[in-house]
Order: sequence, then C-alpha cells, then structure tokens
Amino acid sequence: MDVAGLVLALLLGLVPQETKERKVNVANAWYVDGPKWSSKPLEKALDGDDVTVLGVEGKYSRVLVKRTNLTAYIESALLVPPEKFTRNVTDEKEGSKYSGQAAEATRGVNEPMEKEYRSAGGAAVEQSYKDLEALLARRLAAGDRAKMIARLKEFQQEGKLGEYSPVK
Amino acid sequence: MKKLVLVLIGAAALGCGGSATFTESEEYYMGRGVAALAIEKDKLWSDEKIEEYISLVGLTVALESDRPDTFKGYTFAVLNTDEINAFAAPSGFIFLTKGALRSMNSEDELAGVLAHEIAHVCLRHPELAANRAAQDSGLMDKAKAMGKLAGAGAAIAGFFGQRQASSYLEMAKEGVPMMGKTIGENLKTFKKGYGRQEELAADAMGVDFVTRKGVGYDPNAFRAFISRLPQKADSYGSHPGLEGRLQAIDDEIKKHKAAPADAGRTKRFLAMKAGLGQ
Repeated sequence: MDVAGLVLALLLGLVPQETKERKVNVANAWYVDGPKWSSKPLEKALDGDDVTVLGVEGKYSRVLVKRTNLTAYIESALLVPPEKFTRNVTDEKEGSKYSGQAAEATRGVNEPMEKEYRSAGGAAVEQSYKDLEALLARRLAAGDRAKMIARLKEFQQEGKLGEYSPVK
Repeated sequence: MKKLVLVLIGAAALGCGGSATFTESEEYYMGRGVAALAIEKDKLWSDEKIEEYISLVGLTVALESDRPDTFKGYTFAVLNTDEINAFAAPSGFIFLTKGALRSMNSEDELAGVLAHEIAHVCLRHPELAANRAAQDSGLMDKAKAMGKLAGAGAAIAGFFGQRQASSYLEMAKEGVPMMGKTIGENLKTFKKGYGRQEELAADAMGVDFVTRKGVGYDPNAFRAFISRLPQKADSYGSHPGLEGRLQAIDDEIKKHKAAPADAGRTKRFLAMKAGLGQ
C-alpha cells in the first residue's frame, strides 16, 4: 500500500489504529454495545472518564473504560486527548465538588454568570429560562436512553426510515 | 489520487470542527441564553406531541450526522410565531417557527430543514458566531480572567477560597451586560441567517445527511420547500439567491441515492400539522 492509499485507508477506518489514551469530554454520553446509535446502552459515560481506544469503527471508538473495566463503544467525536480535556460543570452540586478547578475549566460563562444574568433581567428573563428548563426536562433525549431508542425505532419503522428504508 | 487524498485530509481536519474559543460547557450556556431570549420574544408552542414529533424527525437525522451528540444533547422546539424561520443556537438548540411548520407539506420537507440546521451545528457556525460576538462584547476576555482567578485560587489554596469566590462573583456580575449583548447579537445573526458560503455548505451537508443509509428521507422535498420560500420577505432574505441555491441543491442531490417520499410519513406530518390550528 502506498502512502496515499494508507492515508485514505486510515481516514476510512480500515486500518487498526494505535492504542490511544483519551478522555470523555461531554455530559450526555453513553457506552453502548455496538458502533451504532441504536446499539444497547450499557452505562452512562462520565465527563472526564479515562478510556483506552482499542479500535475505530466508522464514527465510533471501541474503548476500555478504566473506571469500570468495561469494553464498549462510544462516539469518537466525544473523546479528547487528555491534554485537551476541560472539565465541564453544569450544575452547582457538581461544581462544589470540583471547586476552583471546575470554575477554571468552565471559566466565566457558566451557572454563576447565568444566575446573575437571570436575576438582572427581571421577571421576563426568569420566566423564559423556566420555560426553557421545562422544555429540556420533557425532551425525548432527557429520559431513559433505551426508551428513546425504542421510540425512535418504532417511529422509523412506521415511516420506512433508517434500517426500514426501501433504499439500501 | 494525491489531490483526492489532500481533499480528504483537509475535510478530516476540518471535520465538524473549526477553531472555537469557548469551551463546550460555555457554548452550552451561550446556547441556553440564546434559546431563552428566543422564547422570551416569541414564546414556545408547547404542544408535547408536536415537540416529540419534531424531535423524532430531528434525532433521526442528527444521530446519523457527523455530530450525533452535543454537550447536553440536541433540543428541538417550536416558537409560537407566524414568521417563517428556523435556526440553530450553540450546543444544538434547534428552533422552528410555527409559521415554517405551517408552510411545509411533508415530513420530508421538515427533515430537510432540520438537516440544514443540524449541518450548521455540525459545521459549528453558531459556535463560531458566538465566539466572534463574545470577542466584540468583551465577554471572552472576562471569561478568561474569571478562569485565571479561579485557577490561581485552586493552585494557591488548594480550594476556591472565600475571597476568590467573592471576587469571582463580582466578575460574573460585571460580565452580565456583556453576556446580554453577546446573546442578543447571536440571536439576531441566527435568525437572519449566515453568509452565502455557510448557507450553501449547510444545504449540501443537509442533503447528504437526509440521504444517508441510516436516514432515508427524500432530499427533493427540501428543494421544494426552499423553492416556495418568499424571497426577501422573511428571515431567509439573506440566504443565497434562490436560483443559485436551487442549482447547488440539485447538484448535491445528484450525488446521492434519494429515497422516494412516503405517503405514511406525509399522513402523520399532516396529522401533526392539524394540531397547529389555523
């Protein structure tokens, strides 16, 4: 294989990648049992989880989760090299746990600033945030992931979409 | 072959990326701010069945896109205004107006519009715009200074001491007008639309998304919706000239295997649309 072919093969995920250490850098991820969104969720990924990338399949990485010793799949886009990791803190309870480090990572545009912004904006701004939070709480994606996958698959089957599409 | 490899390397390097200065969680808080302001101005059309339907269509596309998840996941919602518009805010907050939904004829048209917005998220257009606005308003400098203060507190004292906490909150208060200005500028940009190149890129990527094997919507429906948009009469006025835009969409559609429209999908779309009233 020439160099150009090797680069192309790497880009297409056809060649096993070197083992790499990564960190999960998102607050909304799951480890799943296959390289598809509809794969069975195994456990919630935590922001900052250390993982070893064992291989790449399409948009997914097969990883070993150091915290639990689980081998599973996660979207590659959610993993960063350890030196690029910034802890994301989105609620006060979590924030107090990480104290100053968390504040450094989340810098200035975070929950404390949002609180100040809401309070300075008065009743209308406060109400709009309450409406937003109610919207976020009732989102399909906010609940149980297995239930969301089941509902989505049912919807796709009815509409002949995804794996039920006549176009292969 | 060399040219192809270079193009692929370039595309892989850009990916869904581009440089951004805000952290993912800062983008999330910016997205929340823009979403809250949009809700304050237009109010939500809070019909849970309609919200679920829009989310199912949106997630069908998003989960097969190049950015299947955002920091706290995608949020799809409907704004209660007759204006015809759709826009994405940082971190995957995607809004459609009631007017836009009313002007659509099928689920495939809706999927095409949502795919266009997901493509903006994927190309990080909202995040890049938020970064630019934050630089202009001074919010970015304030955020960096707050990070330094907190970091110094943590390094010296091993914890975020009372004095640091008090200074930190003072700085947060000072940052409020900057945050307000940044959010306001962002909402204006998102509602108005991006530049010609960004819109064409989102059109092409959106067509790619809806035709992916795991999705299966008809991309011609997106073209049909765009062709009916009133020119210069709405927020899409800044989008590329209609003729050129349709030609570019046609060119993109030709590159993909398009699924046909499906009567069952259109039926359920029309049932949802009936819930919007007149």
